[in-house]
Parts: sequence; structure tokens; C-alpha cells
Amino acid sequence: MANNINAQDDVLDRTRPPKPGPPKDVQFPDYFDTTLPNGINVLVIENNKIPAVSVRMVFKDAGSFYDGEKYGLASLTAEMLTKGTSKRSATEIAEEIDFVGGSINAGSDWDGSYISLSVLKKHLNTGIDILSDVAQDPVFADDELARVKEQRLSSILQGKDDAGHLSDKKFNKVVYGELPYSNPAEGTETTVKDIRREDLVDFYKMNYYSGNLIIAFVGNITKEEALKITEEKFSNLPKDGINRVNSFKYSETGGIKNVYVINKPGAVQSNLRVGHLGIPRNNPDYIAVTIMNTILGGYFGSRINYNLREKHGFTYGARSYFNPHLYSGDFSVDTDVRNEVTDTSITLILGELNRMISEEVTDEELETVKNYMTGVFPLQLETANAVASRVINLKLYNLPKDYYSKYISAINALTKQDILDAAKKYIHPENITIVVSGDAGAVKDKLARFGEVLVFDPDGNQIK
Amino acid sequence: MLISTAELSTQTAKIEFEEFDLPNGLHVILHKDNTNPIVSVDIWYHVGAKDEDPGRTGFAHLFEHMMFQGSGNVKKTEHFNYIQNAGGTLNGTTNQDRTNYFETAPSNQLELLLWLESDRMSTLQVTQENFDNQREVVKEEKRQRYDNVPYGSRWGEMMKRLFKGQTYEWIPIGSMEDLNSADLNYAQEFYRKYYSPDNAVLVISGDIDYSEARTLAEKYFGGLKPASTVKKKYPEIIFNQGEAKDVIYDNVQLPAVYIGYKIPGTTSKEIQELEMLSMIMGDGKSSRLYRDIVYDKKTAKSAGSFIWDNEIGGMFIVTATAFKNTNADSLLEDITRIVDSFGKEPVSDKELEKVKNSVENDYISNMQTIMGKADALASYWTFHKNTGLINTMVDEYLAVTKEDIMNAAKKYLTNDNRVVLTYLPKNGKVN
Repeated sequence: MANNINAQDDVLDRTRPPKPGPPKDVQFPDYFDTTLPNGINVLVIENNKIPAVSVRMVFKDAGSFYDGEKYGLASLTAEMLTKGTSKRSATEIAEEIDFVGGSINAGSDWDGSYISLSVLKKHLNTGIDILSDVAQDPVFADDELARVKEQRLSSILQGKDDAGHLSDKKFNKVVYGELPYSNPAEGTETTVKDIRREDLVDFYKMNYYSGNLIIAFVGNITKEEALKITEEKFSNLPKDGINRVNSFKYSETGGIKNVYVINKPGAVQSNLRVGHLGIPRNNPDYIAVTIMNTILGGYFGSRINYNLREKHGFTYGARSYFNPHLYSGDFSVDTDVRNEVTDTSITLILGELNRMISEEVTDEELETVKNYMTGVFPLQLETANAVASRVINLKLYNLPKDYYSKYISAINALTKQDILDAAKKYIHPENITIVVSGDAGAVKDKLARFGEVLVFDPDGNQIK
Repeated sequence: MLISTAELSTQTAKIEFEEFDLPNGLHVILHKDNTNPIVSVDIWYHVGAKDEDPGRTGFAHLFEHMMFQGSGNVKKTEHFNYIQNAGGTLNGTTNQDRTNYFETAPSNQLELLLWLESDRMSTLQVTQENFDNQREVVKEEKRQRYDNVPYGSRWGEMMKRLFKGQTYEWIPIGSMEDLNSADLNYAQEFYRKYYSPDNAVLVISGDIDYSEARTLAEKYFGGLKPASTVKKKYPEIIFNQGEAKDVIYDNVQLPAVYIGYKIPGTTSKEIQELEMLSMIMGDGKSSRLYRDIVYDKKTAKSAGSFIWDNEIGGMFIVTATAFKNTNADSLLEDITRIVDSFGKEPVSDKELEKVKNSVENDYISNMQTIMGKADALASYWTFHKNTGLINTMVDEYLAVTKEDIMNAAKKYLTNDNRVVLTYLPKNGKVN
């Protein structure tokens, strides 16, 4: 298809890539970090590039992990924070923050509960007033709870049409076994219906306290301003949680070779999860595992994506993930493939897992991924909020303070043997769980060679 | 206390840039921001789904995939490899009006990015095998993002009706049938017509030196030839063609309503008015739609409105997802009542001030990243031929009055000018 070049190009040698200029030094940005007598950990990531501030409150180790049997409790509690205080109704909160063009959002995940404010500097006082109010004085009103529960029940219903969501739920259920991570964080129809105002109040008293609170001030703000705001506006929480217990049953799931099919009649693709338990975020091998996984399936140029997409055209994309939590984690290969190639795709994926644990990666593969991971590091630090997320992760997952300053050298120190060791230690094709959301009638018969095939409907009931 | 323009400009640093044309017609925009040692290259080709002919829908997007399959000096998979090996990220997207290709990398790799972009602008090489491979990949993309997703057909169904016989009758993913019949010979023709320097803008944004960046742009792109393609005349958008209503049964649990009103093209001054109108109507929990049908009446689980503007003409979208037992017809009546209210009386002072504060907040947030700025610069050049709008567009929003918003509502948000789609669960369908 050559058509645009003219004679002038004779002087320019296009046959070889130009050499890069000298690399610039990449430093993880400085930030302020102190813990006050009441236990609040104040972080300030100052950056005056734009006249905006975000404030992120993180309640550490206070997420869905503590739902108990009331699945959905952590997320409903967080959602209800912005639905009314003694001073402001839900509507007033929405109006006040929307009026200044800002936003306040609250939510939870497995490892924490979060409230974040984002606002222009000139409206900071307004934003802080609302944030301080919703974090420290929520009323969890019954009528608001009824509204939020109705919306949640509808979301749970909608999830039954979403192939990826169905796969995740089944995969977590099987892989995590007795761990709380096996439960649906959004709740089930039964648990959400049963959750009452008192449950939210109890969860709030147990998990929202200054001893586990990180407040990160990000953007156009100094540490003096941040400390003053913290002292004046965020000193109303108790130092400790009430009735807080941190015990859970940890059990290795093992040897399950079943194939779980969630039947979606008429589906034109199969959504796949192929994997098993992984590692918690603070595992000392985390960086080696990340580099190993990047070669395997962690980026566009990875083995799995090349094989399934660029070589075979079976999928729009395929990736593998080590998805880490505070106390455990999972590993899975995720993709969507057309019905006819569902079994072939699983065979190709298993082949790549076996190759990963049986032979060293090539020098070129390791070099490319090292260059990629170290090169994109400064890209990932472009905004103050991106830096803040990393600093918060250090705290949330109890990582060493110098984690990011040593990050690049830790990557560069890895050898092919380290990668093979990490693969052997953390990838176990013999212990794989396979989940398929798709048209059981079209794909089920060919899956028997991977294990016993169990078929479920989107409600989770087994179909015989 | 309405925010005045003067107050805003003291808040917001002006985005500096340099721009020039190469003799072959390539427009180059440079923006220096040395905050971080990274650089973005962003090329917009002024070609999209609206340039496709009937029977060849989806081709502009399929072709975007070809641009990663190799060129004169870069073999298949090498394009990705070179950039990832340099510590960069990359992608491309295709919409109705343009196709863009963009990379961000450590700034010492700028020359590599320009070498790669100029190589594929001038000597793309696609084999039949790679063409067939990417055709399959795109078919899987269509299945994954549209066919196998609840409500996934909504925009295709909307535009098919709203723009029947006009520009924008189909969405960029195209039809399976047309993807199956797409051929490599036509790719050659498409490439020659549209992938030329005189149909593109190159933006280099980030840690650069202006004169070095200019020299590099000239070095790699100066020798390419223009195509001087005369584009087809795009059919005009016809407003007020009478209301069209349809019910679509889909694999969904909850009913949903999608309403599309036709609006003018991107450069119309009414776009700012309509966008602000859409924000007051349906952006956030204090918006009128949310307050009315989600919060008070509790007939919708969620609701919103936004504009989807295109170069020749676009859509004002109002949408709501219902609860399982909501009557979709009465939900539509409620939505219509809310929409109609905007043409009957002006929005309040408070609503106007709120939306202006939001515009300002959004503008400042978008200028946080070098790629955000690159896209804004490329867009203002491609569609408005006025790059400086990056610094003045906010003022145009701030100048909008309550009367402007009311007039825009009266003119475009009429039943005669809309298509209504109601999605209902297939399972509950009464035969």
C-alpha cells in the first residue's frame, strides 16, 4: 500500500527506528505523611498545576470483608452516608455539592470504605463542610434506606444479564471457599431485603473511626491548610471501632477440576474465567508475579492476547490478572470468545499456563516487559490523584514506605529464573477452575474434557 | 454571584500552543508542558463512519485495526512492541467523524513515536491473512460490546431511525454482513483517499522543546504527499420528521426508555446551550430528572440526559432505566412532561449558576493530562478550524442566558423531532 512517499525521503533512513534521547530521572513525588494523636493518618500530595483539590477519606480494612452474613452491608452503609445527616437532607447534600460543580462520592470495596470530595479550590470550604458532615454525622434514615435498597435490588436483578458479572460471582464463590471474598459484595436479593437501619448503624460504629482513617489531601493545598482542616473538621469520630473483630477462616481450596457453566440461552459469546487462588497485595513476590503475569497475559503484547487475538482471531481481547486483596487474592484469565471456539480457547489458555511454568521466558520477552513496566511508571504518576492512589495503597496494604522509590530497581533486578520461580509457585494448571457464562446448549458438550461440567441458571440454581 | 469571565481567567492558566501547516497540508499543533517527563502524540484523521458507503458499514473502524498490522519498515506486532518496549501506551478509536491514534511515552522516545506514525501514514502494508484476522477480531468486538450486552443495540437502533436516509444512519461498528464482505482491495482505496497528511492533524503535547518538536515533525512528515481527496457531500440532517416510537424486546431484566432528539452540528452555537440544558435536566442527583422520577416518584432506577454531538448533526439523549414493575408508558409521559417544561419557562437563576460552575469544573479537570489537552486541541482544529477555542470555549458557555436555553428547548426538544425506543424484557413478552 505504499503511496505517499516522494523523492525527498531518500535522505531520511526510515528502515531503522530512531534511538531514544537520554532517559530522564523518574522520582516518586514527595508527599507529607503524619499520624495525629487521635489516630488519623494525614497525607498531603500537593500539586498546584490546576486550581482544584480532592480530599479522600479512606477507612482502612473496613469494607465488605466485614459484611458477615449480611452481604451488601458495607456498600449500603457507604452509599447511605450521602443520604442525609442531622443538618442536611439527601436532597440538600446533592444540591449543595452540585451547585459548586463538585462531587462527593462514597463507596466500599473488599478492603476499605471510602468518601471522596472533588472540588475547585475556591469552593473548598463548601466541599469540606459537606464532607465533614456526611462522614461524621450520617443518620441512615429509614425512608432513604428503603429507596437505596430498591435501587440495589434492581441492580442485582440487572446483574443477571451481564455475562462478566455472572462469571465473577461464580468464580469467586468457588475459588475463595470459606473466605468472605467468596460472597457477593453487592448483596443478594435475600440479604439486601433483610438489612435494617440498625445493621448500618452497627457497621458504621464498628468500622468508621479515626484510628483506621486516612485522609489524603490532593492538589492545590498546603500541609498547613490540610492539618488545620483535619483538626477543625474531622475530630468527631471515636478513636476506636466498637465491637470490632478481625477473625476469619482461611482454607486452601484445592483439587477442584469442575467446569461451571452459567446458562445464558441465545448468548453469542462465552465469557471465560480460568484460574485459582492468587496472592494478597503485600506478598513479597508481588513484583515478580506482576512481571511474570504481564508476559503471560497482562498487556496487549502478552502471550495469551497474541495467541487468542492476533494469531487466532477468537476474541477482541484476553488478559490474565492477579487480583490482590488484603488477606488473599485470585488469579484468572478473562476473555470473551465466540461460541464455536470456547473449548479451543480454553485449551490454548491452559497451554500457555503450562508453558509458563515449564520453561524460562526469552531474554527479549523479559527485557520488553521490564522496559514497558518501568517506562509507563512516570505515565502513571501524571496527576496528583494518580500519585495519591499509590500512596493510599501503601497504607491500605501495609507496604514498605520505600516501595515506590525501589520499584524500578526491583523490576530491573529480576532474572528469567525469578520469573520461572514465580510462575511455578503461583500458577497451578492442575488446580484450575473454569467458569463459562454462555449458551450451555451450544458449548457444554465440548467442555467435559476439562472436568465435570455443572450447569447453573443466572440465579445460581444448578440445572440437572 | 454569577461567575464572571474575568474571575474565571484568573483561575485558569492559559493553554499555550504553537501551530503550523506543513507544505503537504498536515496541520501540526505543539503544546509544551514540562511538568512530567512524558509526551503524547495524537493524530486525528478526518474520516469516520459518516464517510462509509451503504454496504460498507464498519469499514472506517475495521481499517483502524489495520493501522496496527504493519507498514513499510514495521512488521505485524512490531508497532505495539516498539511502543511498549519504549515504556509507552497506545490505542486508536473511531467515531462518526474522525479516527484517532495516540501514544503516551517517556519524552525521550518522541522521535520513535513520530517514526512509527509517519511510517503507517505513508506505507501501510496489510496482508490478506492479517486483514482476515482483524476482521474476526472486530466481529468479536461487536459481539462483546454490542450483541452480547443488555441494551447493547440501543444506539444502533436509535440512529437507524433518527437519521434514516441522512448522515449518521449507522454506528461505527457496522453490520456483521458488511464486515463479512469487507475486502482488502477497498482498504487500499480507503487508505489512499483518507490517510494522508492533508486529512490529518498531528498534536505533540507534553515535555518538549518547541523548535525540536517542529524539526522532528518536519523530518518525519514533511516528505509525505497529500491526497487532495474531495470528500462526498454529506446529506443534511432533516429536523421535525414526526415522532417515531418503537418497542424492542431484549435480554434485559428491567424496562428502559431511550429518547433521541435531533440537534445541529458541533460548530453550532446552540450546542453549548443544549449541553447546558442537558446538564440541568439530567446530570447528577440534583438534576430535574433525578429529583422527579428517581427520587420523588420512584418510577425509575436511574435517569439522565446528555448531548452526543457530531459534525453535521447530533442527538440530545434522554434516558431512564425503570424498575421491574414500572409502567414504561407512564414513565415516558413523565419524562416528556419534564422535557417540555424547559420550553415553557426559563430555568432558575440557581440552576444556571450551577451549570456554569459545573462547566468550569469539567473544563479544568480535562486540562489535567497532556493527552486530555492534546485531544481538545485536535478536536477544536478538526471541527472548528480554531485551535484557540481551547482557551475561549468556556467563555461561550458562560455567556449563555436562560432565554437561550429556553429557545433551544423550544426549537429542538419537540415530539416531532424525536425517536422513542422502549426496551422491554424478552421473557415477559406476551405473544
